[in-house]
Amino acid sequence: MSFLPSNDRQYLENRGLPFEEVVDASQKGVILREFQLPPGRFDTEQADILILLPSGYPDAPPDMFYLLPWVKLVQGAKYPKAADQAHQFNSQKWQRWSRHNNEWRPGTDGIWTMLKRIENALEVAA
Amino acid sequence: MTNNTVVEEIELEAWVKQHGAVQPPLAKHYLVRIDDRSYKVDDPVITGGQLLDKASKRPVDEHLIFQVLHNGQLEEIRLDETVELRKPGIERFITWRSDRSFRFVIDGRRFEWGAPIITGLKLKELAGVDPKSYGVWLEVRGAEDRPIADNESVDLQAPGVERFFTGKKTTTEG
Repeated sequence: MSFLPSNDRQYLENRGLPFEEVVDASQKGVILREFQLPPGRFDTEQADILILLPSGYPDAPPDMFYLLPWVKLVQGAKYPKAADQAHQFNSQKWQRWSRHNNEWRPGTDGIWTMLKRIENALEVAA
Repeated sequence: MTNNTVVEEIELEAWVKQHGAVQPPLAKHYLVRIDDRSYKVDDPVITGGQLLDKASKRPVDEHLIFQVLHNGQLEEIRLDETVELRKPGIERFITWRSDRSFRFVIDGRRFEWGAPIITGLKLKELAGVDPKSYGVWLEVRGAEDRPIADNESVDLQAPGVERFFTGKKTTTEG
């Protein structure tokens, strides 16, 4: 099943990021497979990233993101702030990264903007 | 008296690098960088047309000249417009033939641009976003997006249409 806007698809394909579109009951999600995490920061080098798309996307912004496997900071061997809750999706318990930014520009922002937020959140995780 | 002292020659770009936003003293000659070369001028008040002529970009009316400021601003100098080279912040100039233009896309909108380079700040201006809180990235095929700093130049001469996007990357936790 394909529900991603063509701009999003084009971006992910151009960048060479493997992704899957998954529907679980009422939730639609994009899973980025084996995403490279910032080196040396976490107890794993790569993880799947889930972005849930709200109804009304891409006019409505996605909120938060989810990792599998769960990751801990190398420093202190603990979960990053606000990333210790589980979210059930596609029969799996994902690590919820509670990160927000609702300043979304309908018609301009897309999966690429969300990915920048995710990359930044991973980069600054503490 | 220092007021009457006239320095032999001042290289303007090097001066700004060394002294920051301080007006250089009067000199007999000034070295100004146009594209990849330095040219010697005697009068620091000069028109866009004269600068083009200096750089042998003739006929001058078939060329454009921009000044590149250190913060990433890129301003066109008209042929009959004078610039004061001793004004701090004028670091260098770029020129190109006016019959060539370059295409790129920002946030899905297509732009025609006269210059072979563009700065991060200019891209944000064209996209109409707040330069302080927004970032701008160049999409790179098969690789991570390249962040473009305000004062960084991107070469638009590579094959294909460059695709840029802007965005806010910060999030709050909780």
